Amino acid sequence: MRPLGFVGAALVLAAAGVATLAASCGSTPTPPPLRSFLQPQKVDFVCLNVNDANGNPIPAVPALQTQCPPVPPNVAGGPFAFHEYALVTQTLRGELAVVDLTMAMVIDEDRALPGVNLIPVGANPTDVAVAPDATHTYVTSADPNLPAVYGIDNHLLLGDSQALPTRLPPLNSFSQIAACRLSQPPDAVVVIPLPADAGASIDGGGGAPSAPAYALAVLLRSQGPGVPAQVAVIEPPTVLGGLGPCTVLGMTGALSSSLAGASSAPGQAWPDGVVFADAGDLSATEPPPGPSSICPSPPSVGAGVAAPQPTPGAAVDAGSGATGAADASDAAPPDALGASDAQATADASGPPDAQLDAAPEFDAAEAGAGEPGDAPSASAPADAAPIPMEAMAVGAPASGGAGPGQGTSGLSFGPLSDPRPTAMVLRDGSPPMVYVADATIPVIHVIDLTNPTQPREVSELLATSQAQPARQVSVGGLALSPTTRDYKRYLYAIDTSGGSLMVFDVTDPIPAPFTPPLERPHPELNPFVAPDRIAFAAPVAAVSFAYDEWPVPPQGDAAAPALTGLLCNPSPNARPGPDGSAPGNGAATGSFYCADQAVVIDPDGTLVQGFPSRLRGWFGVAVLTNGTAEVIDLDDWDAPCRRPDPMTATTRIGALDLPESMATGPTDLDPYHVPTAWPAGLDPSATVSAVTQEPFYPVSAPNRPRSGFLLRNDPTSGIHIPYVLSEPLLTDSNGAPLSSADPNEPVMLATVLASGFVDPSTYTSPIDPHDNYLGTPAVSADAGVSTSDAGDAGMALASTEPGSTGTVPGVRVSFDDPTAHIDQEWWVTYEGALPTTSPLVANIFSTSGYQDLTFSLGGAPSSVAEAGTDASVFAASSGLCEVGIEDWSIGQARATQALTAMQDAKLPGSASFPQGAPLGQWTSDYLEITDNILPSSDCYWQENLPGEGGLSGGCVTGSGPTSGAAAAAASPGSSCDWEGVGRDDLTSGNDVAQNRYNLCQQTFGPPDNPTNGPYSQADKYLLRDLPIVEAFDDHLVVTRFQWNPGEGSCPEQTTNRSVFGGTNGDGRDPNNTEYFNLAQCCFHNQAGFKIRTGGEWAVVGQTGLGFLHHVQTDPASGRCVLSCEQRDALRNGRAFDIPYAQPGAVNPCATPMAQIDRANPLAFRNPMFSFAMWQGCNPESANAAGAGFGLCVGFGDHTTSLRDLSWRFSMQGGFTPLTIALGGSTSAFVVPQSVRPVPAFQQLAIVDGAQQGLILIDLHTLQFVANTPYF
Amino acid sequence: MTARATARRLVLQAAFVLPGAAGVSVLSPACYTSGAGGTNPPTTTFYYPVGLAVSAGGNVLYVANSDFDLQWNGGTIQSYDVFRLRHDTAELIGANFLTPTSVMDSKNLIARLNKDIAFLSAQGLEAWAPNCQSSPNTFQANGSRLPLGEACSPPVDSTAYIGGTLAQPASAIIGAFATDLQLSLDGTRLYVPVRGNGTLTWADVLPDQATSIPPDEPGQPGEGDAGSPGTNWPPPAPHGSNISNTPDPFHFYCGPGDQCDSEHETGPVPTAADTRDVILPGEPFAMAQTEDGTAVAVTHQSSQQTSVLTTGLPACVDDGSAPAPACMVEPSSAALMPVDPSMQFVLTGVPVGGDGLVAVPHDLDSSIPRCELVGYQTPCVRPAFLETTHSAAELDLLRYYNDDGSSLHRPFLVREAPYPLTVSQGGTDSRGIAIDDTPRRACKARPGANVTECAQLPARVFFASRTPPSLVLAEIGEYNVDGSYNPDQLQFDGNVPLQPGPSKVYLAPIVDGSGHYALRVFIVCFDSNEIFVYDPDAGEIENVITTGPGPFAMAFDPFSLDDVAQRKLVPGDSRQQDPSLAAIGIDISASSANGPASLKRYRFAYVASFTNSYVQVIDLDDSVVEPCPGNPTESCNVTFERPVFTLGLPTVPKGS
Repeated sequence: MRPLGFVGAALVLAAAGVATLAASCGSTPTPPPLRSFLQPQKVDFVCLNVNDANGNPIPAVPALQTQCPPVPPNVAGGPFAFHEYALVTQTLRGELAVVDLTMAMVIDEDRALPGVNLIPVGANPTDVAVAPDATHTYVTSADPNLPAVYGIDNHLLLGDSQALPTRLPPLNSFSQIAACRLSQPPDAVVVIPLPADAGASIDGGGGAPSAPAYALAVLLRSQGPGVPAQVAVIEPPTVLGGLGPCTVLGMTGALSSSLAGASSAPGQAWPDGVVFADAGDLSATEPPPGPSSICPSPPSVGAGVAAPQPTPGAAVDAGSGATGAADASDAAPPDALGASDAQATADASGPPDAQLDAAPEFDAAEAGAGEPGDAPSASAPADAAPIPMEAMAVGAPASGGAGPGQGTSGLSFGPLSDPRPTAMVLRDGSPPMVYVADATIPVIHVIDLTNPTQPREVSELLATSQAQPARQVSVGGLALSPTTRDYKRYLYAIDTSGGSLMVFDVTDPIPAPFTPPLERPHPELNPFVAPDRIAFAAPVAAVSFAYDEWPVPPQGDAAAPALTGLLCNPSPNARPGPDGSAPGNGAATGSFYCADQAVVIDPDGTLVQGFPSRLRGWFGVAVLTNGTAEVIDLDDWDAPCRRPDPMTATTRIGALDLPESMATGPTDLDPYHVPTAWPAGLDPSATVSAVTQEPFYPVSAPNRPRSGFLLRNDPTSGIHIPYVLSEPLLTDSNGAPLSSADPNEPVMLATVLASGFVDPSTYTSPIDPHDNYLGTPAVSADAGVSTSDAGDAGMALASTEPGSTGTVPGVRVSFDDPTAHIDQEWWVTYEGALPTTSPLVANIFSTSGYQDLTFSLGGAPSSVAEAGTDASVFAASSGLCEVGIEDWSIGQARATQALTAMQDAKLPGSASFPQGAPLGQWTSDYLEITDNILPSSDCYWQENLPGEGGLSGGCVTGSGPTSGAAAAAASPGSSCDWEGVGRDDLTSGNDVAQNRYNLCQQTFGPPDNPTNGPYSQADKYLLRDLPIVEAFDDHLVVTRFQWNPGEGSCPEQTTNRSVFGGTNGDGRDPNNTEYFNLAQCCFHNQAGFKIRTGGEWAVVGQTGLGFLHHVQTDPASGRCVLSCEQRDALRNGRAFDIPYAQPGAVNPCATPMAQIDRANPLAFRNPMFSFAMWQGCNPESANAAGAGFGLCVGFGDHTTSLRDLSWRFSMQGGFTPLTIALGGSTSAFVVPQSVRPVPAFQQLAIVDGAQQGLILIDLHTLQFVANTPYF
Repeated sequence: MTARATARRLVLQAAFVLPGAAGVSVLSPACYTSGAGGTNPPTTTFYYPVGLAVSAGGNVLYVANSDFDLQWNGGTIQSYDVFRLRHDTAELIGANFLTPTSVMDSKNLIARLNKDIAFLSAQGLEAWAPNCQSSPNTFQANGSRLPLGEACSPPVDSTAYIGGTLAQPASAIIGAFATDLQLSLDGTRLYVPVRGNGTLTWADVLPDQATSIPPDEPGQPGEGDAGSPGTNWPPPAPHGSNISNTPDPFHFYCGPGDQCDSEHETGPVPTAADTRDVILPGEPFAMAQTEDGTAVAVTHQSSQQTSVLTTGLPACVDDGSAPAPACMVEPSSAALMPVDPSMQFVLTGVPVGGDGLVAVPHDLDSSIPRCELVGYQTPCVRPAFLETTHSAAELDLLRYYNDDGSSLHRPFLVREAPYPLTVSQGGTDSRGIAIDDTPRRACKARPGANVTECAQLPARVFFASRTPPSLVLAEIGEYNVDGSYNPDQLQFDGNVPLQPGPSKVYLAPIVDGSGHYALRVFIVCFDSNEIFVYDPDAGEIENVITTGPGPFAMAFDPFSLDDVAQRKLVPGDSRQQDPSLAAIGIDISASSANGPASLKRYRFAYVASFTNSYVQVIDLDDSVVEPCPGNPTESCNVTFERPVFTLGLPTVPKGS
């Protein structure tokens, strides 16, 4: 059935009619906008010559994109000779809309009919592509009954819309459109150039002179068995109104569905943005992921382990021509290419007037890099190989594998279905290729189109997930980058599950088979994003690459062309002269892009503050399903100027802030040979540095979301570096403030800085070049606290600087990876509860005759069900390890590690607590039963009492087959064993129910009630606390605490108890039987509980981040173990108390002297901050006031830190990506469908399915283009 | 079922259609004195229908009417004869493709249709002509033909299709403001959340079979037009009911007389099995059953609550072989007799306005199987639900505990995880939801499949959002970082734009051009009078079906998800293809290829227009292609995904 092209017209007519009627009835009705779009999806662009030189209309003549000029603001583009048009598919109506972007209007193809009439192109148009010569537009239609390609002569594209003396016929009929029928519904189409000699052969020898020099590559959808998905190369349709079969030049046949030979090995890392040095592995500067007894030391790399993936520094530094196997035309950087090359990047044209002047700069940078003098000093991280994942043996599931059905050496997803391609992107040049995404096979097919009669699949990119190695990845949209300055080309691919981006290196057009996605460099610095993904706040709907440039205006010679393609260069050697001229024989440099020169580039701008939105170079643009677009740094030509200042060996800020080398001489223009960019020596009166003075490096890194703000405390845009909002506050268990100066209380101090590092928070004004890191830090001598002025408002409070004796509470902010910082309130709580998203509820039973007790989310697991008699029936989904539980064995290992570190730091360990148990004996998470016992009136207390019918006398439970007596009979373990409690009055007599209740409430407390006092019964009754001997993903084995009451008969307190090792050190003991029986019965075999970090501080982000940990489930045993991967090293949420005094100190409450830096196992460190928690004074010498619990001070205590003592602080200045709200100021709903750059305009076009229109964003201003959206 | 029996049944039906149509206005409103005050609602016509369900055998369409404007003293549940409805729909479609060669030929055709189909005279047969040739409504202003089915389906009297008899129509009065209707997984019990009286009203029904034509005459099960009953007919009597007089699947067993009694209204009063003594909060709205059918969760429109009730039915397992709704009763519980549903627990703290609820599918072959199937040996997973809300940008995972592990045996729900909605700007108004596990089923059906790996493929989640109007795509069942599998981990993937007012979401197949099942997602857009048809494999909107005003609920001919996942060939409906149909005047051989002879066992969807109180039948068969009417040189199927039959007279609401 032919599509009905007039439907749209009828709808518009109807709408117009309705509008007319409405207008006649209401007083002042607001007419709804007349819409011509309906389910728009894809877009392409064409330039047409539509006016003569005088602005008079002429029949449209196709033109090159470079002929279409952008329309300046406030200028009517109508008279322009060349107009740019957007061609937008209308999926639901089978039409193509033509939008005149120069004149800002939707074209009405048939003015004889009311409304805006569009071009009929067949049902369900799936893609649109304009021929390179602009003469034709091709649209694929996936009409199931009539799959076809339609070819529109662009001379007719405007229908009768032009005011020509002789009106052209409207383009409203299929008879005016060439078409041919496909064998299968198409999903995508691209136009590929044909070899010069291909025309004759393709034309069958006819050699029609008008035969186009291109063909169409069409992605055909599978039609079930026997009709596989494939890529067909066809001749463009030429027969008007016909629907004969398309002339097929060649077909690939079925795309590959085999993963034979594919492995789960991770990919290489992409460049980290530290282009002048190889930052390498940072593991030496980071804490070990776990105690040494749990995580073995990484073995030396050798045979039998996966080859370490070299960081790409060498490739980056290798200079031109040193990377990849791409041929010259493919790999040349954008400033060495013509505009046509850039069309390989999803039709985004390159710099229209790209200059080559940057080449010397670039070469200079390359020449300098990699030289011995460029290498970082000894303070730089060692360039050690990353830890091979396979080497992690104990309790560490290997990353990148070991998931069900998947090994590290091969992928196994079971039988795969037939390929189902979802998207296709063209790589023109030589050889012409297309990359085809697949939804059912985790690959991207690489198709070689060199011979259009024999298109063939030559390789596959493998879509894997290191975070979820067992997952079969489905690939959605694709975008191919241009060649970057380091001669790289990247393919961005959408992982449809979650909508993150994978990055593939396709510098070599034909990559090695099953090349995996690249990994983020230094993933440990931001463990919140999967190591092989770029992730956003919402799933990516579509992705593209876009180019923008701010040319250097002519300097002196007004007739000179504007300069483009220049790297920003902060080198003093490159600075312009006093008259604005550039040094070096007038050679253009990038110095005009420096922070202190930015006004030259953008006279209306605000100097340095405009850097984040000043896009120069190539950027990825991800449009998200939440109606926003985010910018990804790919090849940021301002990157050398976005940095701290200085960058020397003694002023490092973050892990990657490696010192730059000095320039080798006055002719050295290398933008990365500028350790000090402050031009004080040149211009003492200058007030702005040549660089942005952002205390991170790199600020702009390839394939990383771009910051929306300067990463600093900026006087214009605000504080956009991480900082602590105020001094950490100590509170008691009720949240009441305590004095942080009380020596009996623990104190949280910032870690000390390692040698060569500075903390930008300690400077009075991070952006004041006269008070920068060249000078003396403005740290108060006595307390190590920064002085306060306008410049450091809200900065972190740094304490214990080297040599300092400061004790003011504070944390050390990390300045390693800006994207890791998230605004968050933090609570650091002694023996705090691990947060969970829902209550933990478990079944209670024992497999050891109640020598220990099991809390199970399920029934008796097979691993503990050997006894069988106590197996019960209760289950949920498992997931205890995800909570981050560390049992006694891990606690002991951590304690051992900490004690070793204390010895190394010459700290006393637990020696200051002579009566206390060794650290390892009280370092264990414990379970606290939080449920109330049932009210005394509940029928439960009468359960299983003798009565009529046997099991009766209790609740009349549900009569269904899954509940009540039937279930109880079927599951013996579901009834509690009152007999085991050992009291006859609990099973017989007149007051059995009341006796049961009384005993339980005496032991575990009455049900919570306001009259009980301010504390919950759970927190008040310590018998509810059960240390975890063994933690499994689905159950916990617990024992009891013990304590020595001593002479003072001190009761059990959280400060004096330790884990009871039991008879054989496994926590089991016959003396537990009665108590555990009682626990089971008082809580009717089932209880809710929480987990506390016994003997440790729990660090919990309160607004979403939660508790960071790297506890995982051992696949073999189900045990909760620590991940030993280095990339998890900063996922930490626990801290020990560090003993306060030095050994032998006269005053045990002396100020701590040990220098605990953030890599010390005693320090707490996560990706955002670090601190050391110093314990309060020796409780025997201090009169610790234990409020609220009747604390028996002193005897047996191993800590002065009371449970739920808490330090609280807020961190602000988290990373904010550069985000464009596509809904504009009205916050209109937007559901992006596709995105493409408008090649002629340096604009971004987003097709929106919610407003059903075309949104245009000006890449210069990142604002909406006037008159947008079109619909 | 014999051909003779079929013919006899159709003749009998035709015989009572016209009198029924004439008498309906007299009989309906005034004959009932329920004692509840007011006027009883109509028993054979629709009134603000809000819920549809088709029996597992495909012969009964259950309808819940809400009495939204309180014109009557309650709503109703009704049963309609889908066997006949399907036949007549196919006959009308076929007739629309015929081109009579003479006036007499045309008259004969009209007469034949007039005999079989009870067009409502007001707008009916006079307006219809073969191929709609004389209808002015079949052409647009530009001369293009409107889609055939849409234009050529004048209203038909619903009375002719009501189950039972005109004297005793299969209709029962329930409270006002029903919001949904679901059939239990074993096909024996209907559940209707009723806002007006704050109950989950329920009724037992006798399941039918796909191989038989159900009885529609009292006292004759297994005889005459009762079809071929098989060994399982009649099924056991509903709990506490006497089926001796009305053993047919149209009948509602919810109390004596024509009204569901208080015994079948769960919620207001604690029962003996409700040991917490909790009652159902107000404004029950959406509901979902656990995978084994033993419990049902109910959302509440105006409170932060979700309730859970036990259904009282034996646990059953959907092994994929049977058409939904249907499942095999677990052997261990097969001997247990159903008991009454009972209220169990009210979960608090969920966002206000739970609008959509669905059970999370947990695959039987997963490494973390359903607990109830493995004796609760870990690792296993408890039943879970996903709940949408119109007040928060999140999706909530609710976990159901049957509590048999404790000594209390008091089932309860836990709000285990709120998944913040990352897709969609705003995203605070989410509605209907459906989950598709066919990727798992398809994978397992492949030769050499590793069933465990297949079982752990993500299931696709689809739900409607009004902020913005879109179908949100997600997945559930993901791997953890350590390689372990979490069957309830949710991840949002994207969204697809829709027209304003999406409400309910359904998962059902079409019959594709080659005659095979092909899965689609149907999204009902109440405000824009449209149903979007989304192809989840192609990731695109396949079509938009324009319906009558205010579409709300849908139902489909029965199908098996396994058949759909494997894209099996849709079998024909042998009952409808019986040659002896000619005995009642239907010449199959002369019919169009789209006529009853082409009827497949699965072909139609049913859409209730809430606003105008009628039901439309949608043709979902794209495999029957024939020369286009009026243009025989082209082949087409102009009725595919179009309304093709209008059951009941569209009625504009009073006061509008």
